Amino acid sequence: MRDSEIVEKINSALAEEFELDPASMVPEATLFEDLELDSLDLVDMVIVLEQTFGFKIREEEEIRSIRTLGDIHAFVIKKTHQVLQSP
Amino acid sequence: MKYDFAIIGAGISGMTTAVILAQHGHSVALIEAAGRMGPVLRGFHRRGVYFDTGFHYTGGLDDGEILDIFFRYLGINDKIQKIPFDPDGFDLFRFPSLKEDFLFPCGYNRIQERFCSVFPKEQKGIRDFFHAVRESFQSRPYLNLDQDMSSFQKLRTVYGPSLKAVLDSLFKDRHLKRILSGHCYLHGVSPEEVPFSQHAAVVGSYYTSVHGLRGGGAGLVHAFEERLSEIGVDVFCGQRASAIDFSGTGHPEAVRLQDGTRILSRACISSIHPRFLLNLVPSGLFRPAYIRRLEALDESFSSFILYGVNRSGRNPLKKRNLFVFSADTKDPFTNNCPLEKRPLFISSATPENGRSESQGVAVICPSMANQTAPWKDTRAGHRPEGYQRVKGRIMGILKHRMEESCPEFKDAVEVVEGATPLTLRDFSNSPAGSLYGVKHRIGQYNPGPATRIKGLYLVGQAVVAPGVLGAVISAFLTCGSILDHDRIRKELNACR
Repeated sequence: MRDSEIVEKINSALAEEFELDPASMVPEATLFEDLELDSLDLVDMVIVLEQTFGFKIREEEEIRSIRTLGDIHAFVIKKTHQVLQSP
Repeated sequence: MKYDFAIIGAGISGMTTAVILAQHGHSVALIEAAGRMGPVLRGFHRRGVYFDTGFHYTGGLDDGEILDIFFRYLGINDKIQKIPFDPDGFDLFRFPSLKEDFLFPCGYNRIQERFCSVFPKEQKGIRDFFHAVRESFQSRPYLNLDQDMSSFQKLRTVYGPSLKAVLDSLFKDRHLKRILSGHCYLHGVSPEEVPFSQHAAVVGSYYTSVHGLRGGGAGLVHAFEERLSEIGVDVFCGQRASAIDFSGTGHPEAVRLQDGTRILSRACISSIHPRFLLNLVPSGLFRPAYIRRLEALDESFSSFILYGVNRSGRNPLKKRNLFVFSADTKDPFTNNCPLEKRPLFISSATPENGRSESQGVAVICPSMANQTAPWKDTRAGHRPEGYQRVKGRIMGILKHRMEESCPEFKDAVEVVEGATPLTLRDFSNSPAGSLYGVKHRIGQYNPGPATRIKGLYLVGQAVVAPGVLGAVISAFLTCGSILDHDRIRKELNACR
């Protein structure tokens, strides 16, 4: 899967599951201020990403440092490549 | 009047939440669909004999232990009477096909000595295992009040390793692994699925002390009833909550009952099954992701339960329970395992109230809800003949197995009642009649106390852990997130 496809898949899953306005979903959008998510949504976001991409997210520390939609894109792209490389 | 809090569901987590909030000066309404509070915990009588349903024994209740501290805090410790189980063996694990018994004692030293003497080749693993259980148990801030609140990483409990993975990494002896998996009965999740840390949080409390209560679960409910009345909690029983009304700004405003009564309240705490909460909240308030998460939560196992009266005057299970296991069965806690080979939990330890010479015996056999699926649209008291026939056959199997595994019960126990997953579903108001509600398994993210709706909270077994201790902790955790964890923990520390 190309990186642009991953980004598209993330945006479409989050738009549906969190009722976000697709127009607001730019990479620099902050989750809490711009997208109006809150800390309670983070667990649901982990679940949505896990189900959408079929991997398990165990990087608790890294998740906590995510601030923007672009951070999620970068995290999932990195994770997808890791999964592909692992035997 | 407008209450500060309306609590939906008066099981142990709802009652505990009510006491904590009322003790902090809040006005509280406690709403229960059943005719009386604590319907599951309260048990029932048949032929003058008392039977426990929601409570059989508990850990962590010795003087100064965590449940004892909670009960002191709640002001109910002087209203209950603790009965210690036999410290030399509170559970007897019996493996009829191997002709082996293992008596599970209390106290880490005694437990390790017992295991090391039976499994001398596994001494290192035994020490490592119990050390890991204790460490894991102590790492939880509401099990160990000295533990820093911020150090606990909840998500770790979702990832594992599983109990099975830990046992496989430490031990070769299959029989030892079987014994150490036996207490999965205490949380209703298989060794493959339960995170080791969650298993440790549950069984760790039993490894240090085990108690029953005078009068069983009903004794505990009576203590709560008295306390709730002392501190002025208003209780509304016999009416199911049908909706939560919200203000234009999205805050809870009232809980509506089936008869249309509105109980006005500034905040609402739901102690019912999380999936049923979805029926009470108007659409559009929860996000689709959260709704899907609650709808997808897996349940702990359900069971068939035989209730019998032992009229022999002799009780072979005084101050201990009997677990019966078949060796070499796959998936013993699921329907993949034939009924004849599933584990049994046999309890006859509820201390008498001095009313009767006869003694109640309960035989609990795990089952999944699909075993009674053909009759899922029927209600208690209106089940068809086909269901009764199957139930009768299953009770026959359980009686036979009870007599076979515990010959002292042969010809001494008369069956007076039976329960199936459907019975449990209807009496405990859980979608699948599970013993412990929503399971805590690897990969499942259970809901937390807060929701994204300000003023709407969750409490109960699904939130933290199963059983009396798990439900009570969930109440402290939820109240901690409302009133401040440091404040609650400081107050708890003052009760030590």
